[in-house]
Amino acid sequence: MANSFLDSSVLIGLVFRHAGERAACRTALSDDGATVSSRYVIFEVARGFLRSLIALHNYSFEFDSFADLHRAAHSGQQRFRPYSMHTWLGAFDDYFAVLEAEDGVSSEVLKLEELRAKLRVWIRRGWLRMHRDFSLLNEIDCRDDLAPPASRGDQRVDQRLPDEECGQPEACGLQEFIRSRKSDVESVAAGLETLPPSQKDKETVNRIEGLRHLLGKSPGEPFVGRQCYNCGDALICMEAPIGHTIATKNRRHFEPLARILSKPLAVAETARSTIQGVPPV
Amino acid sequence: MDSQTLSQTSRQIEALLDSGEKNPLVDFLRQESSHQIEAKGAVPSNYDIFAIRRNDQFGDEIFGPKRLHVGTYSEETLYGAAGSPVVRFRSVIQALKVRVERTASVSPEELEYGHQAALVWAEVGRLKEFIGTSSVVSEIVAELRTARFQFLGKDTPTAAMRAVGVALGLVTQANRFDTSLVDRLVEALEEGGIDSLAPDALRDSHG
Repeated sequence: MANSFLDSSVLIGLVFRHAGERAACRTALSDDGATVSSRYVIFEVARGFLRSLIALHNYSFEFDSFADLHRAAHSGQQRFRPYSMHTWLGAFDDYFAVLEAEDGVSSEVLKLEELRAKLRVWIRRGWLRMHRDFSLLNEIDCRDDLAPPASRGDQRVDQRLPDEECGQPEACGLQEFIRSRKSDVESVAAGLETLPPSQKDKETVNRIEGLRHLLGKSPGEPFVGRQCYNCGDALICMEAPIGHTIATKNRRHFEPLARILSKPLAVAETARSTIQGVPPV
Repeated sequence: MDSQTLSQTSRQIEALLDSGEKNPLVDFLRQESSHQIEAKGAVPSNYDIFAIRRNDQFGDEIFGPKRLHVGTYSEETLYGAAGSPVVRFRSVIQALKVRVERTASVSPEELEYGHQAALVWAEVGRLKEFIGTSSVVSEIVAELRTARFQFLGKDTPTAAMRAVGVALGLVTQANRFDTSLVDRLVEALEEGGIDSLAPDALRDSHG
């Protein structure tokens, strides 16, 4: 019986994406085994994809109409770029157009309100389902006390992420994980270094640097939290337990890592599997 | 005005009037003005409500009064009967639930099923007027509209229709409108194959 270990791209695909994408992600899972993920993966989702949904929800309060928000998102503003936020608005534009054709015109103010309503439900239920639908392990000893996203009195959604504590030995177990897997970490850093230049993109170069940064730390010495993020895919690969197949949409980065660590890998082929410069979601 | 001639209280009143910020004195004066204007200006109206009695079989030749006086109602009474948007929302959802249950009880192979389903979705479409009533009502309506979106131009399976009925039942039975109600509603819809994330499918053409 094969078990599956979800990376962040497949976890997002199963929890935050439409039925077709979910079905595609399920093809990477074993039929009969357990499906597990980890606290580290959830933290990665929380500070990336989920954060972008929350940000989009909150940006919407700066605008009086859906059209204004849409225009701002396509104006090239930096803050709308992570996780291709503008594509959500494009999708909603089409969605509202279809509904308007049937039910009559909806005001731009109501559209904005409806967008917020949908985002709130997705944010709230996504968080709930990540914790309810999968077993979570925590080999890295990452934070397991993340508060759920919550609506504030002013209707903005917020989620406190203790990322300022990342890299602080009293709050973060990564250093101990690195120490206990030292030979794996060294193998991954060395293995990635030998990749041909065509496979060594910026993310991979940052990963090698991050792993070396962590290897160079003495026990109890704080490290730069950002280096943990840079090592994400490598740490997830290392954290996947024996007997589990790593499920990902990110073939480009996970294939070399799984090969170096001799771990089984299943890649979900979807419309958004590994696009250059865009995290697979 | 020479401040030397003012009492301490007068100076405080003047300060409150000049402050430009919201304070109890300004609120009091605003309310008083409003009451005075209402009392002296707009006299509350009364409404006489009539029903027109007719009979398709006998035409105008019917016995008894054709015009029935239902009653005379004050503005206040009618406004109270209309209720808050949330009360109206509950009432509309209750009526919709009855229609959905009736539809779900018809065989999908019968013409009547398709006819009733079309009417159900049209009523779901009209719920958009309640968006903005409250955050929870907006979420409920948004989810029901997503369900409608999924069955535009195609057959509605009975499982989906039954799921809509269950979801509406949750709303009609709820003592409180809170986010847990919305979460349970979404789960009930999912049981019938309705996908809250359906609009996300349109994202792929915007990548």
